[in-house]
Amino acid sequence: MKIIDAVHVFFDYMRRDENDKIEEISPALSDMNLEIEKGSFVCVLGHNGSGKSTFAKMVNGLLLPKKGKVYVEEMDTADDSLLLKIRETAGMVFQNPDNQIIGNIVEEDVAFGPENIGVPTDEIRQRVDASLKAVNMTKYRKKSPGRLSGGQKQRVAIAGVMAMKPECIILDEPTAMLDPIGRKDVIRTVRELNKKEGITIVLITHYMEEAVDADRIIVMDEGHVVMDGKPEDIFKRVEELKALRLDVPQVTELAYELRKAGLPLPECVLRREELCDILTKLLKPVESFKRPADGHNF
Amino acid sequence: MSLRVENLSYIYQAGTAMESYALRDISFETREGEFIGLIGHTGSGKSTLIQHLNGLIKPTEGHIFYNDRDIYSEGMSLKELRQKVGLVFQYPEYQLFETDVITDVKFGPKNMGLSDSEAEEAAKRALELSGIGEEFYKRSPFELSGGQKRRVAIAGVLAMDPEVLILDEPAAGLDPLGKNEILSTIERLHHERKNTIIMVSHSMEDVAEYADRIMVLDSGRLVYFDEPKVVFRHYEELEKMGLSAPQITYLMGDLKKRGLDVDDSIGTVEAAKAEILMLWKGKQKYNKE
Repeated sequence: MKIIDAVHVFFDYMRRDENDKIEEISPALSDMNLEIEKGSFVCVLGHNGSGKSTFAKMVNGLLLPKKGKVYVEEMDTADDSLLLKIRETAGMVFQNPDNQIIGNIVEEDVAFGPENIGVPTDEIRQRVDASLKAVNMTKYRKKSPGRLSGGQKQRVAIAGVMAMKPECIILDEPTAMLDPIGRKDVIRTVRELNKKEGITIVLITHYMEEAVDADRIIVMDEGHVVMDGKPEDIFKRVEELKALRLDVPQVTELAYELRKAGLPLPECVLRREELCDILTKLLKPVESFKRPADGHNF
Repeated sequence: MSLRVENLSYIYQAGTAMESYALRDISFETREGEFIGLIGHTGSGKSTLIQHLNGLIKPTEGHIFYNDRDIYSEGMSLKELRQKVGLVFQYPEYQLFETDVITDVKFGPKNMGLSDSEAEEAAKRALELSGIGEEFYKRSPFELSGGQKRRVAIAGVLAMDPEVLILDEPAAGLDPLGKNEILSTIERLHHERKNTIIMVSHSMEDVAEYADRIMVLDSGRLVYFDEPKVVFRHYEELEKMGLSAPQITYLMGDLKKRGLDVDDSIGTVEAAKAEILMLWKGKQKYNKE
């Protein structure tokens, strides 16, 4: 079953001069078509300006198509009367955690959403407990968000969305401002929400490593989908990705370079463990083989 | 040119019950024309430290010397210091404000007292170094792409001809190619103008590739200041500090544990490729014999 369905979506940003006359129209989405299956983990890649964020904002009705339709669980985002329901179904997490946190205490912040839509107090409590547990932040519930690290704040923001009991969470570069461990924690959290709670995840990112574990990767360019497939099918197209201003994970790049240099490696290697196994088999010294004495140039 | 920091501490809300150290007893000295990568978890004090270096924040304790002169000694002008030590903030494109690119970049040098034509010359040089072509000079900075805006913002600092260039996460939020363009621009500056560079980054892969030395901050303390391969050898300690080593370094470590004779301090794809190819060729030669 599909949860998100974008059908021939067009959108452009207009710039107006002082007299409100249109000065320039820059297209952001042009004939974007995309169906996302319920319960899947989809990663969206694309260079700055490829339309990723515009698409993300379409999904929960922050922006409406100029032409075409976006459906969330068969609800038309252009139908005003459904907007609240759509936003409960599809929650969003943005890049900067500091812009998304409003409560003085972590649990108050997480409770903000459900409070706002009139959820009864007892249930709010249950939802806050469950959400904080899901993002592994229960022990910080009484803390001030200001004292948390970037990764922790971002997990609080995710808990805030979780408390709305969404079917789907769209994360727009949630790790761009985080340090390596914060990044790992957020991605692990997102993956668990997908596996354990069955929440559909749409993750927009510039870190290719984060896309490796997705069920499906979508690559956008000029406002529509240009590649769509499993990580191993996408990341083997190294040159095409680079032409789209993108990249591949370091491990994949190394494997690709070694293959080009003549080593018998598979077409696409995504994970460190996998490359390690293959290289160990290939290079394991036979009996007393030692590196040539003159070969050490590092 | 040298920057020297001696026993620098910075305390938030000093003298109150809420007193807390943002930086604690930091000492280091930069070398002429070196590229320094500054890493640390969020809240480790990186941004606070770099703001000390051009006198935007005054240390609670300790001293900062520029060319062996205390920056707060009599006769030192902070205004001049800020031209010599250029600071590019995070998301600098938010600070663009003029109607066209060239005017925006001219703002700094004009403020330094240069005439309009001198400022224009300085701006053109800076834009060229930053890889922004003449066709953009008269465009509004707000029409440019994210990566272009950021390069214009960096040019605004370069136009003041700084000796030291400090950048706070210059590649944050850019797509991979945009990131490479910014980082290679910075590297080119480093090579052509021999600027000392201090670059704050959350990407271990980037500092491994570009930095001569890496400075690691943890909870306001300076824990390492050494070559990348030496610093990344401490990957277990780095992980405890919210950091990591580059993915490639972990791979090389795994291979070494499996009994392969590889250098496990390698941090870039290029070096790893060379190392593995050498083993591969050695083994093939052995097989033939």
